[in-house]
Amino acid sequence: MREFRDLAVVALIALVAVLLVVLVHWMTESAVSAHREMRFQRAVASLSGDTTPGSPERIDTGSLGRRIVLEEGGALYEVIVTGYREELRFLVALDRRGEPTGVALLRDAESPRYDQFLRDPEELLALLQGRREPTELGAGAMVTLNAMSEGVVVAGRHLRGE
Amino acid sequence: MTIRDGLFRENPLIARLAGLAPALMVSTHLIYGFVIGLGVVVVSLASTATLYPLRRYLLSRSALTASFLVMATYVTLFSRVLELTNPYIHDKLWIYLPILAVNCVILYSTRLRGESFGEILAGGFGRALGYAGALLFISALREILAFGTLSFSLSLEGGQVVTLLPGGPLRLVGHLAGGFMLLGYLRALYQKQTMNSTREGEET
Repeated sequence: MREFRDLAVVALIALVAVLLVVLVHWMTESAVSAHREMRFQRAVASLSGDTTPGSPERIDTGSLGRRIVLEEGGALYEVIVTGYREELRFLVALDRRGEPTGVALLRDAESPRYDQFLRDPEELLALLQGRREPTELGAGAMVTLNAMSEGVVVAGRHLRGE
Repeated sequence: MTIRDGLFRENPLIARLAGLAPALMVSTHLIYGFVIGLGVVVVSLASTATLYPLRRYLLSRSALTASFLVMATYVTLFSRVLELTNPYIHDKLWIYLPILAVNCVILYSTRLRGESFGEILAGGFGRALGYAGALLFISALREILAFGTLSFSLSLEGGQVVTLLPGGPLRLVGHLAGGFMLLGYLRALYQKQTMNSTREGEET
């Protein structure tokens, strides 16, 4: 009887814990998403005005001064990557030939992870230019998000430029 | 155990060297130390208060499981509140926020030793407060020495940062190795103080 009661209490705690966490996540999801979108749009909005030859426009990703450069005639894309914990959003700048000139993780551009993001620029480029569906991406588009896990590019969106 | 014991004589961080992972990894800025310290205090108190009425129904072998469940729930809620109020700090603390769920300082507080609820709560509060206080002190010291600043708030827009020593005189302290060295010095000072107190007690 005592063992059954012990088991029931632990099961009840687990149930309440899960319900509570799910409820709070559900109630706050829209606010958190809105906040993320606002930060992203703010970074994109900093790309105002025309680019001038010789003085490339700089994109402040809002992360401790780490910046990427959008050259004249270049284009800027948003890339969404899913990782083991969450969804990450990158800004990717391409030059006029379509070569990547900079990648910044919006949340934490100090991270060395963004270098590994460009493990296969061709694969990424195909996605960004709409030549390939996100779901068709192979292992080349896999990006190392951190030492523990890998993520995969799931979507790309053209933001600015040609 | 009183609140005073947790703060000084049995300080979890300096005296017991407990909860070192978040203490050394994120204590590079004052505000990070404050948030982790606040998390430890809040989760410790909430977990103790939740588990106390349930302890009579739990067998000793299930107590740990129940503690982890409750701690993980409160840490998740704390993390969510932080994400809503300051997503920048939430992102910076990264994995060191979720692993508060297995923080041994909180875990020790939820072991519910003692008789009265007040006694248990005071002991847990003392330990958590001692940990938070030591973390705050180390964070402030590391930030001043490594960066020459004190961050009272950080955000994407910059936050409130006071510059005390431009450039920072000892950058090494900002790295993990420097953090270990600083903690080692603090521990040595603590040991020296403890030995002096013991010697004085023996002489009297």
